[in-house]
Parts: sequence; C-alpha cells; structure tokens
Amino acid sequence: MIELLAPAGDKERLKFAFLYGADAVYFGGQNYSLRANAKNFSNDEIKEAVIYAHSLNKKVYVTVNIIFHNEDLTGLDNYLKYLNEINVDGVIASDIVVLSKIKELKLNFKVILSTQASVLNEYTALFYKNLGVNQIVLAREALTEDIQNIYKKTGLELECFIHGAMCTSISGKCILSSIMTNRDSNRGGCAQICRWVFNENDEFPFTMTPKDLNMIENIQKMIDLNVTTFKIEGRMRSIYYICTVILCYRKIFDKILSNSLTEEDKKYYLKILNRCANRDSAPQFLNSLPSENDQYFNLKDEESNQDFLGIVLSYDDETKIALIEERNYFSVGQEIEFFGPKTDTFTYKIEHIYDENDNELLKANIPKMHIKLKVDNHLNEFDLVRVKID
Amino acid sequence: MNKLFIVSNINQIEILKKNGINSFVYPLFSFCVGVEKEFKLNEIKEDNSFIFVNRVLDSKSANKLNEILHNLPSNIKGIVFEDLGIIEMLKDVNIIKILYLTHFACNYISTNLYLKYVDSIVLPHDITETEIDEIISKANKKICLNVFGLIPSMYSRRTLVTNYEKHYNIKVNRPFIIEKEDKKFIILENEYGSYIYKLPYFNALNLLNKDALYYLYFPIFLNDKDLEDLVNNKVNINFDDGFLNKKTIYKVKGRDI
Repeated sequence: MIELLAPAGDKERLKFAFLYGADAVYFGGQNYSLRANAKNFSNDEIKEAVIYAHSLNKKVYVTVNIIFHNEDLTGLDNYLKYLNEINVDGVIASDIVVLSKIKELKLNFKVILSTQASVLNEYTALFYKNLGVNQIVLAREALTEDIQNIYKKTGLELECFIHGAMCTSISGKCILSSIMTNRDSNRGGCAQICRWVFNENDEFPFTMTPKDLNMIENIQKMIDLNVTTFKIEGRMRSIYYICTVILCYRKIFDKILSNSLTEEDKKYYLKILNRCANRDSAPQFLNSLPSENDQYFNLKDEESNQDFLGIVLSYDDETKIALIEERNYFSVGQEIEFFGPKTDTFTYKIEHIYDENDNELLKANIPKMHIKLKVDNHLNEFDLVRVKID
Repeated sequence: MNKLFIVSNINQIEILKKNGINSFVYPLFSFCVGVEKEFKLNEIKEDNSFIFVNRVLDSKSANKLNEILHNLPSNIKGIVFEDLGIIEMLKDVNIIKILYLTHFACNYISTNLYLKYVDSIVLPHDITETEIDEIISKANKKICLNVFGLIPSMYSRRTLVTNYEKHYNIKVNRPFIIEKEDKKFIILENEYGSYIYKLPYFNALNLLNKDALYYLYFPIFLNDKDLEDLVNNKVNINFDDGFLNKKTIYKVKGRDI
C-alpha cells in the first residue's frame, strides 16, 4: 500500500497536511528530535495528534532520531513507553540505543530507521533488520540497484524522500554546524552550513548547496522498486508549501494508481512545485549521480516567494461570499487561483474586495487581515488562494 | 602502548618503523574517501596490517568488498570500518574488527551495543573528554581513541570541487581549501565523493594516558619531520583539541520551542 508521508512542524501544519491528502505525518517531540528548533509537540499534543489522526484513519510517526550523548539517555525509556501507550504508529530512529530499547521494552509500534543511518546496501539493511527495524528510510543517495538489492535481500518496507531540501552531505555524516556555530548537527541544531558561501573574497566564491529534490518523474519507477512510503521533507516549512506539495503529490499518486497520469499533468505539477519553494528543484540520485547542474552556485537564485495570498476561512453558499485571511498583497484587477483538497483549481479575477464591515477596498495589504470576495464557485474552509500560475 | 597509524604513503611506513611503530592501517583501494593514498591488497607488505574502509557502501561496492573480505591475505590482521553492513560480511571472517563510526556512538549504551558485534570501537571526535571518560568507565570492552589527525566534518556523495570547477570553468589546487569567518576546511575528492576536514589538526595526545585498546593517528599531509616528532609525542604544527573541551548545544536560547 502506498503511503504519502508529510512533515508536521506543529498542530496547524498537521491539520493541513491531513486535509490536503497526506496518509501519515511525522514530527518530533520536545526532545530527541533532529529539528530541535522547530515548534515540535509536547507529550499531550502528541497524544492529541494520534487521536486526531486515527479518527481520520491516518498515521503518526514520531522522530526520536538524534544521536544520543550520555546526558540524553535519561528519560528515553519513559518517553518510548509513553509513545507506545498513546499508540503512535511508529518511531523514526537512527541511534542503536533507541532501536535496542524498543526491542528490550517490547514496544508495539513500527520501527523506522531514519535516513541518518545512511543505508545504501543490503548488508547494512540486514544488520538493522536484525535489530528489529521494520522499515528503512533509505539514504537520499540510493541508486536503483541499491534499492532493488535491499528489497530483494531483506524484504524490508522501504521509504524514500521524494521532495524537499537536500543535505549536501550524506545524512548523519556532517558536523559542519557543530564546528561553525557549536550547534550540534546530529542533535537537531543544524544551522545549514552547506548553504553558506565560502571563500567570499575570491573571484569565484565556493558554494556546495544542492537544489531541492523533486521526484515527480520517478514516482512510477519507485513504486515498481517496491518503495511504499513516499516522504516529503520540511518540518519547518510554511503551510502553503506543505499544502501545495502534498496536494500535487496526492493528485499524482491518485492519477498513477488510476493509470491516468499524463505528461501534461507532470509538467503542470512541476511548475507549481517549482514556484512554491524558494528554490529550484531537480530529480537527484536514483538514476544517476548529481552533477554541477543540480547545485546552486549563486545563492541569489533563491528568490523569495509571494505566491501564497490567503486562506479561505468560510464560504456562504447563499451570498457566495468567501471570508479570506490575507497572507500576501493582492489587489483589484488581479487574477488569482483558488485550490483545495476538494476544490479543483480555478482562476478568478478580483473585481471587488470588501473588509469585514463590507467597506470596499482596493487592495489587501495587511498580513492576516480578513477580507471578503464574492466568488461564484463553491469554496471550502481551508482552501487556499495563490497568484495565477500560467 | 598500542599506537595505530592510518598511513598516507609508503614513506610514512618507513619513518614509523624506524621509530618503533609496527601496526599500520591501510586505506583500502576503492573503498575510502578523504585519504591521500589508497592501497591495493598486494601493496600491503607488512605483517599485522589493518585495512581501512570508510565509505558508505552502495550495493555494488558492498558485494565487491564482501568477496575481498572472504579472500584476505594472511598478513591482514584486522579492519577499521565505517559501514555497519561490514559486520554482516565479517560474521565468518576471523580478523580484528574495529568500528569507526565517524559521528555515531556518542554514548556508553550505544557503544556497548556496538561492542557486541566488534572487538573495539573508535570513539568519535564529536564528544567531550568528560563524555569519553564516562564511556571508557562503562564500556564492556576496551575502546579506541582518536589522538591525532584531521576531524572529519562532512562526507558528500557529490563531487563538490569538480562541480565547482565545471560551473566556473576553472581549475583549482587539490586538495582544495575553503574558509569562512575564522574557520578553515580542506576538501579531498575522489570518484566516491567529497570529504571535508576541519583545519587545523586535532591534537589529543593528552588522551594517551587513558585506557584504550588502540590510539589512532591519522597523520595525513604531515611531512617526514613532523611525523617523526609526532611519534615521539611532539607536535610542532598548528592544532586544537576539537570538541574535547567544548560541549555542543542543540537548542538555541530564546527560540520558542
């Protein structure tokens, strides 16, 4: 069974991720997670998230994927037992101490090996299988032959990243952040040093930043390789990014499974995905090693994105009035798009904007201001508004 | 005292032998990144030699290595390795197994768990001396300690220097040095990827008084004189002590977490 797995940096993102088509989400608790500076979830919030997800017949995986130092060991047993008691569906881990504790404490959830463990061959996969791992998030560097052989020799469930930021390093093999900023690379403090510019005063400053990952072209192939969980990166990304990416891939998967995905579809989704991130994206690894064309050399290429215009808070079918929370500037005369999990994307030309007291405005230019638009097409709560994408 | 040197060239071996060292670790040809020279098995002449394998192995390479490990010459006494899959390969191979997980095994429980499968483990550079002491005191077997070398800082499967050269259509000196603020790094690249080390050298000769199976030296790029001095516990080049006295943080003060 195919699973579309989305990041959820906080409760709001979790809700939107499920709404826009994720089958499962992953996030960290207050400790032991590799995004120590994301908002993350308290123990009570994890419990609420599990109840909410299960009510939708969806799943929750919790990251316990730091590399533990002596001081981090205190409390680990109790935390894992707690996650078991509240029925999380799985734990994502990389340190052998977590894998061992799960086995020793006879906990019931799925054991997922984090990409931090850098698994690229069947021998390593087998080592982890013998430690009780059920599913492996393969190293992002995996090529076709690696995936084939790992599945053939171990039968393990396989998870791969399909979209989002790439580490320059093989995951788990970098301490540049620890060195440059003293923020621990492998305990959630990564300061993304691989996105910095080195030798700045040279004629050609040195950068090593990869483009984002985008595997639209390879989804069918990955399904054929027995990958079952398709993971989107970005626990610290915006709601707009998460919704857009999840919805695109949801539609792609649904079309693949109904054998109706066309080249036109792929081009269209690619255009949307490339716009919603601040960076260009490319397929990387799987078929070949990345080249210089899969890196950025001028970080000014990372343009800021103002596509996200607002969230639909409510829609009145009688008056056709949509109440919208503004996120970026838009004005009368502009063409915009509405889209949502149950709303097919459509274009709308703005003729009038009203404030909450029905005063007419020429523009919506205050973040989070509430405005009204008269829209003939039916809209749903939490549909999103963006600029028109040609 | 068991000093183990990862050697960078044949000349180093002669110097080390003259100074009473007779255990060497040879980076194995086509299975290493971030080394000056790799050695084919038939180039390794000394008895009691170790081979060094620090690549994250793809499936094809892993199968090739598995074959090699099952046909090792008798002068190979042991292996120092990174990829945990090698534990599976070595189940029926009787040599000394030393695990070198560059950034993992940072606590005593994990260390003991790994020690169930190997004879010893090299503690990473990423931990403090206090953490090392606690691990040593709780370890079920003797561990190995990095005492001199360059600190591995990043390992990428991408050919970062080549890509940079191609993009700008230039040629740069290899190994390539990069810097930012007051920090310098050196990048070594081969067909298996790019390996970045922090500069200057890591000097932890003060750890020689701790209880360890082996003390690991990685005198990459060291000239003959400095190498000879190093064997005699003298370091005349720039160095620091890495993280031995510098604890890392992972939550940033003032952030809403």
